[in-house]
Amino acid sequence: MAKRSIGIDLSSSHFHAVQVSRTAGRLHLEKTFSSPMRRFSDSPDQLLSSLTTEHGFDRRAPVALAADSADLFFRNILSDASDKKNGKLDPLPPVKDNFPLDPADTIIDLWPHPQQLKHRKATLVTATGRKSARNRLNALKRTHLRCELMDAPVFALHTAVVTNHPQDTAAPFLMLYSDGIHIILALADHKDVYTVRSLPSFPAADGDPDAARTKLTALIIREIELTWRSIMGKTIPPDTVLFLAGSLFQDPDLFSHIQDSFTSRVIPLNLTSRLTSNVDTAILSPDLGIAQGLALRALSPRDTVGVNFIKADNQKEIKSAGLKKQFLILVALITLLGAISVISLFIKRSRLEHEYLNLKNETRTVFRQTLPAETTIVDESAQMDTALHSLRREYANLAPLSDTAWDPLTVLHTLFTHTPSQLKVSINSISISGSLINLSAQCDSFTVLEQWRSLLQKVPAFASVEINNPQKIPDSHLVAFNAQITLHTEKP
Amino acid sequence: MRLTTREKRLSLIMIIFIAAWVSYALLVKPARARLETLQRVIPEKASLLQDLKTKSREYLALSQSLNTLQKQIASQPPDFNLLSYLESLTNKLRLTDNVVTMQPQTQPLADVYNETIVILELKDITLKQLIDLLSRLSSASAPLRVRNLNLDKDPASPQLLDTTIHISHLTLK
Repeated sequence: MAKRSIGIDLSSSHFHAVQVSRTAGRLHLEKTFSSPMRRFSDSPDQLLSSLTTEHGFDRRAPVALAADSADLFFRNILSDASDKKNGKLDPLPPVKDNFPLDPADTIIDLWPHPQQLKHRKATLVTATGRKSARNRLNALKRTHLRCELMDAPVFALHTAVVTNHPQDTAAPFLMLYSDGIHIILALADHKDVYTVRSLPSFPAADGDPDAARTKLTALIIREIELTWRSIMGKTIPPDTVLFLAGSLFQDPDLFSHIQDSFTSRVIPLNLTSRLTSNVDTAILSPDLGIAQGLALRALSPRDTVGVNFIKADNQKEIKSAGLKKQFLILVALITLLGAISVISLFIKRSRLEHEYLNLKNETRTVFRQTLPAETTIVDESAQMDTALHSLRREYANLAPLSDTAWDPLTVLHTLFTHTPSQLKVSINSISISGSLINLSAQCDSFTVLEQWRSLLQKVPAFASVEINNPQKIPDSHLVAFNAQITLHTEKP
Repeated sequence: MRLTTREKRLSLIMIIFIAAWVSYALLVKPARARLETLQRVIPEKASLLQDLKTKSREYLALSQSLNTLQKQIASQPPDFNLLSYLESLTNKLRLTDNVVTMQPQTQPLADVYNETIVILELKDITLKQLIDLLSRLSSASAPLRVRNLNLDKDPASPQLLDTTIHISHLTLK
């Protein structure tokens, strides 16, 4: 099954689109569309929409879009091993401020060179404005095209050159592209773009176009030599290839001028050198090189050289959104926890206040029920103590009259009931005063005395039974003793 | 005045912090202090209530008993005289010859009552006579109580007892 992709090169002067497919490793250029951008009559939305509605482009194919050349910047960063942070190059902080863009509104992506440049590790830092990038992406979204990649035109051109001219790209080569407004000069090999430069492009001078071509050619040749020398540190070898693409170099006179001035080979980009195509060759101009390169990048992004501003932008957004989300969740959790703590605190306080009020009311009710005559209540407990003490004192005077007080008849009855006759305990005297009984008695033996004491101790009315001074009566077998029995305060 | 995003964020954090601090100072801290006070006071108050209930029960019981006794004292015959009663009782029980002394003592009791105590000393009475005497005293029409009772067996005649009885009688002033 064929895998398709679309490359779209959109600038202020032109609109190029190419659809390629790959079937069993064979690349096929399926469709192209090219249109100038007229400032007042053409809108990108219309042109993008027409790709699928009028020109038969596949709506489901992934799209690669070129970043705006006017808003694109490159910088090679050389670094030592000591610049590594956690084993990874981190050139962003010092570099971001060096681009003529608002750092907060800049998307940066890195192309780490696979080989060292000038004996040092190097990274090609690519920057574009976030606003212009998103404007382009939004235009694609409006036309329901699925954009997966946004790359710099120079990387797309490199992909197109390497794909179409593999035999001429094994050694370092040069690429020159111009759409009439911008000139891009790049030094590359088949797996790396060493450096990229933007050169000024100016219209032909009034009067003498040939003089303008000569001037432009001289500028280009000078910059090519300077660029080569700055990277390679030597002059350009004679077998070096310069690839030309873009509308400016479709001028045969300018092409001849450059070919004549450049000491090595100059090759125009051929879009169908390694791709089969049914498209009319008359419309397959090198102008479409960037669009074709973008389509090839979208087809095999990992096997080609380039950057992806969409991924770089999303990564930052995802990271930022992730951090923000985590922070918000943390804040929400802390707030929730705090709110729950405060609410539970107030609920607990309210419950305890209610409990305290109930206790207070109940205390007041008990006090009023007990002492209804008390009108001034200051301290229930102290006032109750005073009243109770006074009542106890008054009651103590009349207590002997109470039915619950012990009367001597009951005491004697209890005592004699629990003194069996077989024990032969003979009581000589008894004194009953309140709840105290003192008696003196005698019995046959200490054993009998102990039995009697045990019997009395089991009597519920008696709180205690004490036997004092038990002794044998001289010249007798009898045992004399005193006993002290304490009664419970009130009758049971 | 235009504030940057950073300034806005810092201002927001500061406002949140101040709001949290004010809320803590005005709401949470006093609530916590009150909660601690309540947690300390409620068990004390509950214990106090239990104590008060116990005292209340005792107070009401004492008060009720006191009322009954007061009614009993107030309802006795107004012409009741303890000495006369005892004299009559000993005659009735044929204990006149056994009476050694019958000595009255009167003393005020609190602000409301007068207490008359008669010390009745009897010699050579039987246990049955003593029980009869005590029974009659407990069923007298006036509220009489035996405060003290001393019994001594007569060594010469073990069936007979010498006894001293302190009989108390309360009257309203």
